[in-house]
Amino acid sequence: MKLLHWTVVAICAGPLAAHAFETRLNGFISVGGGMTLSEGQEYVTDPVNFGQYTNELSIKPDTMVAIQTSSQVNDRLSATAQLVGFAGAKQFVKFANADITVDRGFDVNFEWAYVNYELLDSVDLKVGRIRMPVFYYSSSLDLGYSYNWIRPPAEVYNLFTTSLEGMSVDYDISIGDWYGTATGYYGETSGVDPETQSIVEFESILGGIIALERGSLTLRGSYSVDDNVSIVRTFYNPLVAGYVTQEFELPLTFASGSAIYDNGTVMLGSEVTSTKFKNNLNNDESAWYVTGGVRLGSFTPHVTYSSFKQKSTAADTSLVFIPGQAGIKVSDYPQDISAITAGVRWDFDIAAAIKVEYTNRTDNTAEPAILEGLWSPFGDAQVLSVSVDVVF
Amino acid sequence: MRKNMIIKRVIATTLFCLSLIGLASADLLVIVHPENTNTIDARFVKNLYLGKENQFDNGDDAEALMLDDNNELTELFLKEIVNQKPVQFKRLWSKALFTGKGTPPQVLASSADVLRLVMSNPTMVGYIDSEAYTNDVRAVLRIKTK
Repeated sequence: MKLLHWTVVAICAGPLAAHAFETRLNGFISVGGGMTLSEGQEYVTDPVNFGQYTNELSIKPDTMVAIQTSSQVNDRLSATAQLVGFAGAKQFVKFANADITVDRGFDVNFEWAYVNYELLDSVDLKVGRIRMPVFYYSSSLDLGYSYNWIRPPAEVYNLFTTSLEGMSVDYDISIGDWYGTATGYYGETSGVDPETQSIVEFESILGGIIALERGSLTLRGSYSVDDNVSIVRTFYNPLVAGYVTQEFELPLTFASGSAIYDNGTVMLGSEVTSTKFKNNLNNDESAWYVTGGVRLGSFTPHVTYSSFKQKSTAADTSLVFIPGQAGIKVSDYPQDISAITAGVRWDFDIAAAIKVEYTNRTDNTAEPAILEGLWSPFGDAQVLSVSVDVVF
Repeated sequence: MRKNMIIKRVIATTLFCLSLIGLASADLLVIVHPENTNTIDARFVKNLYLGKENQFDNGDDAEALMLDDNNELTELFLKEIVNQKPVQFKRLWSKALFTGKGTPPQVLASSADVLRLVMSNPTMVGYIDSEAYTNDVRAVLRIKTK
């Protein structure tokens, strides 16, 4: 993608004003800690950076920091960069016959890096690295301070890429008492699926979002499509007693709908998502959560139920585990998990909150007899975690 | 007749005393530049501070000014006009700031600072303690403090 060219075009298009830039420096930090309550249990909190709790106490998976600089270049043009580091970041490496994870803790990445140009009073154009705006909480995913949980429900927020290189156009809507934004976006990105360690390239994601709010109610819908998704998967094949690399296309669509009600005292919210794979190589997926909380002074107790289910649509995919035996059809064993999360947020300062949370995940996936306990990447898990979220 | 005069005088005196009491207890005033003749009602001010509105009726840019989080006028203003708790308001703007949706209102240290900026900028809207009021600005809304 010729991003640089767009950037240059955007800058050239702006009126040339030679006054001093108004620059803001802000940031936010979350320091979290937690563990699963039984041996062997693993709970992925951050599929992008492979943050994961195990039965050993760790302060890495939910710990991160972000620094943002934003400059108003002229009346219509602004530039924003957000640097983010995750304590628990890891990288997968295939080495000889072993999978190795390399600690990349607090490696700094740009989550946002874009120029915003105000085309019209109600139309903004962003070019650069932006958040892939697929979920309700996509753009504020790491900003723990802005929501009640320590992290949005992991069963639903399971995408392993969060940002893309491209562009988005935002159009402000105002109809009577309803205010909102219609967004169109296009771009490319890549990531590593923590479940299979496949390298996935999204080459042309196109999507639209409508978000509307009236008083305490916010409604949002998104739809995205990418017909150019390629996957490179390296795995151990017992038939050849070695690693083989497989490459295939996986065009997909993603849709989500959400409704949030927050009147300052009562907070209710729900989000439903659907991922469809067009070529039957992967099971289609649907996920949802419903959450509720009550603000009692500076304390907000809350509870959430979340669910992730696959449908049996991967008719064309079989995985071979034992030489000479028929492969296991992926469509016969769709993943099925749910979780209940209960926690409390304490706003001990206007710019800082302490949170405690307990999550109980149940794995209802039917497993093939020869892979009992190995087929599903999830498993039952109980997780206890705490965090401090601060904005500055 | 005479009795009526006395009653009238008593009423007038009472009203005068009441107005003195009214003056003595400082109120919150929402102020704009004196030449700003746009319609600025509570609904407009609420939407401006929530980031839903950024222009006056006539299409000129509108900019909101705040006093800091700890100022009791801020709490009163957010409660009565914006209908938000301070922590809710902070959360809303933190989210906007870090997701490219907008920049929070500029925060100033005192009512005098707000008055000074508003009297020289037709784009600005602010709230001040009524004791700081001068006719260099136009007051558009008043909220009684307890």
